Amino acid sequence: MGIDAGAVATKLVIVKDDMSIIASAERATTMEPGKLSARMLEETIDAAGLSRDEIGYIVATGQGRRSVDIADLARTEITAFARGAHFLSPDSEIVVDMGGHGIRVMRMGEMGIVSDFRTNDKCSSGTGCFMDTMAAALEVSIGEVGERSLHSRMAEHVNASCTVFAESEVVSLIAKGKATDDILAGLNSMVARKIIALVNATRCRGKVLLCGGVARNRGVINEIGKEIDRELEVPEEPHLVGALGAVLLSPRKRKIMTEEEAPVKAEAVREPFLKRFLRWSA
Amino acid sequence: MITAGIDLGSTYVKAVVMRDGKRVGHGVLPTGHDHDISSRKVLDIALNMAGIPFGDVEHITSTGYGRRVTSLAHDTISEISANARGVRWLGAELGVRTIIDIGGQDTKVIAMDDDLNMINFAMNDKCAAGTGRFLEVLAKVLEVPLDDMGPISLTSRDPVDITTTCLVFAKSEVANLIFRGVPKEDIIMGIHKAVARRLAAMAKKVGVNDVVFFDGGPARNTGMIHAMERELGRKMYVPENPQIVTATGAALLAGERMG
Repeated sequence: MGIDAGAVATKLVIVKDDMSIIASAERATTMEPGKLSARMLEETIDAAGLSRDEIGYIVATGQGRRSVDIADLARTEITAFARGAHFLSPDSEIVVDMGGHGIRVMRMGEMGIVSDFRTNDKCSSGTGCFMDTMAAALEVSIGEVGERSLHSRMAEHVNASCTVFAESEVVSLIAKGKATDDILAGLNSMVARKIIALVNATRCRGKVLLCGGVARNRGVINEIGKEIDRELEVPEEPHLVGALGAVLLSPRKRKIMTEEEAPVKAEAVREPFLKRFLRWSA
Repeated sequence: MITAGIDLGSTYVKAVVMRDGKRVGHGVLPTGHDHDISSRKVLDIALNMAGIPFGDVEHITSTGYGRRVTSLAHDTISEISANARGVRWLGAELGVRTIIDIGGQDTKVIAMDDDLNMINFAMNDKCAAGTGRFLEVLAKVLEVPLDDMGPISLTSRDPVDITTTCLVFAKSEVANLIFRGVPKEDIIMGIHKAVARRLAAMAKKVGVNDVVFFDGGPARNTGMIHAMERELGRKMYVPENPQIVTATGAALLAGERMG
């Protein structure tokens, strides 16, 4: 089992020996990541009709990984995301984790080892909590942000990039009577610009895999696709890539992954998991 | 000669009325939605204090973030120039060479030469860290009135280290510290230290020399002054009313422009 105790959301996946996902869960992160992950484990195994004994090795990742005391092992989110991303898309040269508190851009080297890495973790602009703040100001649920922005005909440009100042700007756009969908479209294109700038800074021309919770926002993904001239890939459940990567870091799974038949097994799991819903080519 | 300066900041509007080179009235109000109404209201407070009718004001100069949005003023001046002018008037004998002006949404550092002419400046208006907004938002998270932040922080024995830079992340960090039962005074002094680190880094880029003049609304905060002095390793000169320095500069420039 893998658990990704992120700054904003905690994600969990339970994977069988053949690497198929049998259960997954996502909850908002609380002040006590240890208690939350234990509760999520109980709830998830109950719902899936499993017992605690059936759960083997547990690997934790994410900002709160050290507080997850049900875990046997803790690994950084960079390691976990790189592993999960490489498993899903071995030919991606760049992996972007669009997270709640940070955007992390990883350049993948041989065997899915991270060779270069960039982050904006000092600033919340463009992260999941940036959009959470804006969605709250606009009284839109976060899940609707992407879909609604696609209805916009003319995006409302937002000048401020700082989350705090952008929130004030959004409030004044609302006061001026601007349409919510147009404001959302403007915000999504700002997030897209941030991500493109970080990706371009790697000076790498290869394929890009976008993952992390923010990759569920179709508005942002579309904007990145329009502005970037390279191939993009987005897995169907991009928020689970870290937790999946954590699973792959358990000693037993590592062994499976290095065995000769591993690529075949990986392919079998990859197909249903990775429905390529968006794809561009240069 | 009667002149007025109005400083339309992002958070507060400030007005100063001057008669024959003396400051005779001032006012401060939260910035409203309508800059015309806000600037007239705050000017009326200052005029009331001075006992001068509106019709006697000969020249009005506006400054600050919203300076172009008010129709009350005859002309405008940038807040950097207005602030430097105000400091030159207030602190001519103090040997001021560096000004740190902390506002609600932006912070400026101004370097001056021996004749108190501006030679260099830096401004942060892109990021809420190191601005008054940082203190304001975190005071709300702590449920402490903004004016109490300074006195409470001075009782701290073991200030925390705020590890995040972004205000959004600092909010979570502070909420977590409260949850863990860390004393409020230690959290607040930690917040002041975090802002001071940002301001000091900006100031060092521009160059810190001789007397440092510290103004803007947050310079009223005694804990903030203390943290700044420790961070820069030198005394800060804070005027009696640090919030109206820029408006004072605008009122002085109004007089110069009349000739």
